[in-house]
Amino acid sequence: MAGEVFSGAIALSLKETLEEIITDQLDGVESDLDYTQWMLNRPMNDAYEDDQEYAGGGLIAEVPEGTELPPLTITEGYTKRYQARKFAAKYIITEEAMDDTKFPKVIQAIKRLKRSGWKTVDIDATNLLVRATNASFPGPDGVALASTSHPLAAGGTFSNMAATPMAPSTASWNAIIAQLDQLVDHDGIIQGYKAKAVLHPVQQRGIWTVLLGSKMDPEAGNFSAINVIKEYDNNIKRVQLRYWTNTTTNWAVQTDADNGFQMRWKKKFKSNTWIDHNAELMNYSISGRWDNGTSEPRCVLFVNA
Amino acid sequence: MADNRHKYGFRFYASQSGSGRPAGIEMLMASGYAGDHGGSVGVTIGDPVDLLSTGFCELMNDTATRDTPYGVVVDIFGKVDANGKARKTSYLPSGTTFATEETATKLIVLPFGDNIWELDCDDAVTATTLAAYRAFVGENVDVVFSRDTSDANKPKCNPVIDISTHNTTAALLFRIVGVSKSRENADFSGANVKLLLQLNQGLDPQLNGATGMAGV
Repeated sequence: MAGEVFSGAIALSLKETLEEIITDQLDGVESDLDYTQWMLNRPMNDAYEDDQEYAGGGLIAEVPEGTELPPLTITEGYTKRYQARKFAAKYIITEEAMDDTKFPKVIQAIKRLKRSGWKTVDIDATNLLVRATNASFPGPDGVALASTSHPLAAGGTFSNMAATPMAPSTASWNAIIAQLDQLVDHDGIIQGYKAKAVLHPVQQRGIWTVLLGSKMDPEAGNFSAINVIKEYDNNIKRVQLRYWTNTTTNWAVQTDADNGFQMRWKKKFKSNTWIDHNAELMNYSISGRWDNGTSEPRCVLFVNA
Repeated sequence: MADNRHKYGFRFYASQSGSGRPAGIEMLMASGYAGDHGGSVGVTIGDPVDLLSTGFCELMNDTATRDTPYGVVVDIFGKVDANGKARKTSYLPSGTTFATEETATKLIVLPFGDNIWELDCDDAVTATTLAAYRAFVGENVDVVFSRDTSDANKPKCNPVIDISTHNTTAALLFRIVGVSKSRENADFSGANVKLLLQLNQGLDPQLNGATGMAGV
């Protein structure tokens, strides 16, 4: 509230009458991040960085003897630009508030800023999935991250959305894997990608734990069959995303496609402290610069269930 | 659609002078002051106040009267304990009385001036996209009070942007100057979208006479 911390804002901590301070979890925030489980952390060297799509020429022709070989071409597609976005905040705390509070746990400005910063990083990252089908947040190819009509550089489209959105089950997994097995590459030719992780809202923890971990098929009536997920797609990682809050039913399969989800850091968090002697105000700030996204929509197959 | 978290009251966002913060001013509140925004409310950090001819200040638009906004409360002295002594507080109960200078209710107020403030919108239907909210920039808007009794011991006036009033009308109290880039603005189709406001300076007699400036 209001934007500055005067002693009135922490008035009940000015005397040693309290037993415990009830406050946010400030320790271990950086080691409790979601995004590091599904995004590649990498540095960012410049103010912006571009990744460029190039598609090969496709299939070759059957050529009669002695006739000229038909040429193929290479087509330039979309450009993915990562802009170093700056995120920052500060606490302005009066010297009186600093001096008079009897409980160090009340202010802890640097720790609170660190929590705010890392939480922002994690939520900013998860927004990629929150906005996966939102046309207001298009990716570099001009459509949302999850789309049935991602353009191919040299013509045509491909889909990285489940053809039939279904709740988590062996059947839905098999359908997704089949779709992934026939996912086309940049030249429009079927390549096939492997699933490496399931990204899901927290409400699907139980079903995915069962589906990924059961020795036998966990579907009623099929208990004597093998669990195909465990048998053929072993070591699929389950990534539960706390901040994926706009749905309880969507989920996504992350693939092994290169240049997928990534977090590019131009500047890791830096904190500053300074005193405004004019009003005897203690200032604590934190700032960081990053961008996140994906250069490759094939990194995910989204289930808009 | 997911609602954005509601954050209480006016939040200082940026200073137009670039000095980092507006200078606070000590202001007094009358003994026994009883805030009324559709019911009794106390004074909380983040509440807007206006000036009275008595030399005191009061909660803005108190008793459904349209007031000229002056500033935002950031600190309160005057919570009178059972022993009759006053101290700092983050919430001043309605009807707090005092008899001496020692126990007088004193607020530190950051004047609206030309500073930029963040405040939540009151509905999620006037606009539902970032583009729609951005289209309001330059227009004027009023603030409405949505009395908050979620803590029955501390009823608050809860100022929010009456976003459906957005217009170029000169008499509206604030000007929309931006959409907050706080990551608290997670879903523009949800409630509590945070906008950036400046006082419609023409309404502040100190700055530009008594007439508001039309928005654009």
